[in-house]
Amino acid sequence: MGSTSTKIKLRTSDQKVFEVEKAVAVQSQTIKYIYENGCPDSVIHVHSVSGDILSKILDYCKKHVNSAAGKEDISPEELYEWDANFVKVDQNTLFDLILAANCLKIESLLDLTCQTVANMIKGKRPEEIRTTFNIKNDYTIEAEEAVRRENKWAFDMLGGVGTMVIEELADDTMSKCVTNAKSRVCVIAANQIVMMRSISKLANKKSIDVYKQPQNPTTPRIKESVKQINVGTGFIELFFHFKCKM
Amino acid sequence: MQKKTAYSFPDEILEHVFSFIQSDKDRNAASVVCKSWYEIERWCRRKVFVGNCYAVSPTMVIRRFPDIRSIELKGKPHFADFNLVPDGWGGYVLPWISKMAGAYPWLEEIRLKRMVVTDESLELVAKSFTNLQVLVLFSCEGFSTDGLAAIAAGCKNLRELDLRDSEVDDLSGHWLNHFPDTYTSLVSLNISCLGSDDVSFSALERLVGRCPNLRRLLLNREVPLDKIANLLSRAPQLIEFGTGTYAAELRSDVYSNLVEAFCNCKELKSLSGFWDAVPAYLPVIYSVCSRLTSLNLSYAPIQNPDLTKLVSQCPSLQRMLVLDYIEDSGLEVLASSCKDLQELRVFPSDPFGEEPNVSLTEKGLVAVSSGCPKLQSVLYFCRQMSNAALVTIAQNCPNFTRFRLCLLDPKIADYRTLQPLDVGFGAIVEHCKDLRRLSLSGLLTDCVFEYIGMHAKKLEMLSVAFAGESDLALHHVLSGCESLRKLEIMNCPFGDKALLANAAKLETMRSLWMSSCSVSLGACKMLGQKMPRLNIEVMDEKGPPDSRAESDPVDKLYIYRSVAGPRFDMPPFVWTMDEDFASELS
Repeated sequence: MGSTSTKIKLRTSDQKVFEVEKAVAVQSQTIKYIYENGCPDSVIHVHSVSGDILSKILDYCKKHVNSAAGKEDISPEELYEWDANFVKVDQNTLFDLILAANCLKIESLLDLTCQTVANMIKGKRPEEIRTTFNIKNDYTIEAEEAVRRENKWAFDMLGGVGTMVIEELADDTMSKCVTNAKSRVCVIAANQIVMMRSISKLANKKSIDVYKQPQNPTTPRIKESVKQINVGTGFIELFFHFKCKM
Repeated sequence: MQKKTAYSFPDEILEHVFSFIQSDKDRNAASVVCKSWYEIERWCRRKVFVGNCYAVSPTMVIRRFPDIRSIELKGKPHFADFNLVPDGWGGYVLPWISKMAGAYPWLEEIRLKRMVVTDESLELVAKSFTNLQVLVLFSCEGFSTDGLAAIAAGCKNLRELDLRDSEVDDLSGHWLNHFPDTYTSLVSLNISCLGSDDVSFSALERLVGRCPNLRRLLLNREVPLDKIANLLSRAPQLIEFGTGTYAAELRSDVYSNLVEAFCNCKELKSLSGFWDAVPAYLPVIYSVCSRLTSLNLSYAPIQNPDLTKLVSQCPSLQRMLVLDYIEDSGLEVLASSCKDLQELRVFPSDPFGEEPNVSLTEKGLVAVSSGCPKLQSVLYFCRQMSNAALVTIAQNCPNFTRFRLCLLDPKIADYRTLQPLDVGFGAIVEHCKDLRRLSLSGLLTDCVFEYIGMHAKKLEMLSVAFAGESDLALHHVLSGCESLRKLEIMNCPFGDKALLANAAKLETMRSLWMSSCSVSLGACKMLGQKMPRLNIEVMDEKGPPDSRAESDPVDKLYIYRSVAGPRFDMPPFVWTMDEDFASELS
């Protein structure tokens, strides 16, 4: 007879076994598929994930499942903070999390971790990026110079953002912005290209935490790093461009 | 512990990471990190900005970025706005559209500025890009309403059509009829530049009525005031609205309809248009005023006290464009009412009059600079200025990013001390450390350029006319302004020395324009030989340069860096000074 909370057993690459609630485990599309198409009683091998990493991933899944199901009293803002802390790990761990999230097909975790890596790239010069990620520069001097020249001469923008993006788009996007005055948090619907003038009107501050709400409402929100740019029109404009899934 | 390397990520993960990186600058940096990053990045870049359409060729763009969805191109130099670039100079978009038609079938956005767009190009756009959502033609020319009809008929997913400041040939009036009845996706429409008979009003009404997501509607001058109420009632969800002619006989039914219509637009934040506005109809917008963040009255000959009364009711204004009828007194009211003001543009109502017709002086700008702490961007036309005022303004507004002062008499001195305005502009560049754009005017010696070279480290664009005394001025700017990208100069005594001494600097800039200066043909040729990667264009409508002496000054000079080499679509009056030029002549 099945108990109200079915458990699934997972064995990692280093032979550790985890017993987790089904609802938590099937956050991973891979595990879900295996569970539904294989023998439900046997242990599922997650070959490419170590015990340490799987443990962290299960923490993540549990937190998000409980929050969505209302089992845990946690506000959206608090969940974002939790996510932000979750990815405050050393680089090796972060990369292991990405690879595991990719292999286990946990979309929101993959987005969260990839966004974190993206934030480590933004604003940096190529040399700095290479150092951060320990990447060897395999360009010849001439080849690198040619790419740099083309980037600067052909594809360089003054001031950071073009002046022809519509100045104030969809107010329905504005109305989807939920602002929490206390924590200066703003939630914007996914797949919106939003250019908001005077976000100082919303938060009256120069910096604001912005979260993207994916289209699936049960998927946790991703924190988008905010760019603060002085555009040609002379405004302080915060330009959010969310990933469009193509 | 040894750092792992992202190098070992599968490509799809790196691509996923890059999808969170949207700015060109960051993507450009990523592409230089290593060869595999270059490859992954170029396949997933979706948005391209080309600041000078001759700096790169469409073939090169397509070769590097195989799947672009959004492109922005700029053509003619800025001084084309002042009719300094002769017709036929270039900036044709057709070669781009032709190449992209085959390469980017999924293109969604096209934004063009100062380019020559033909009906043929527009027809090709409509045919090739079935998923086109955004078409912005900013200050473009060369097309007619026939081209617009093709767009209307062919682009079923169009969201935004913006013809801002473009010159359009009006052939037949009914291009709006070409939007099919099933078309409902319009979000933004700017037809403010169209001339008479261009717009079929009933087609416009039907279009507005069936597009529930319409947020931005900027009408052209010919739409009469008594039609506005009806139009607005079909689109109460508008955020931005530009009226047509804002003049009519005062009729109580028209008046009350307008009041009601504006009242029902609960989300309206931005108003413009107001051609020939009469004071009698101004109060109809009062219900909207408290919410307005942007107000463009630059076509409205409204004077005080009506103008001041209107302004005083708009406490949320961030952007204000107005004629100098506002006068110093009105600007004082603006300063005390509009604490969120970020951008101010004051245009001259009678720029060619000998005597001032209004009382607009430096005092107005000083008042705004003092009262509006968020002021960042200024374009100000006036007839008198003093160093003291400029210093005060600079001290009040250290956050300026754009400062453009246009004194109607180009060589006018400080009216109080009769000194040049060097010190005043010097204060601007010294205090405003984030200044990115500056336009100078008034009596100016080499000194001001020394200040600019010394302090304006973030300056990207500088416009100069009738200023300076010698080459030293140009040298200060070219050697001192580290971030300089666009320099445009007219009627200044700048010659060969500074240009040749700072030749290398020109490769760090997008472009340099010099007209009616003292640069000799010989210097241009030398520059062409010394700097083969620059395109050095000499424009002279009087005849080929070889018919004159080497020491003769060239009329117009446009220099820009390019990875595409010289262009071949030049008209007869433009010569490139490349390495072959000298040998071509002999």
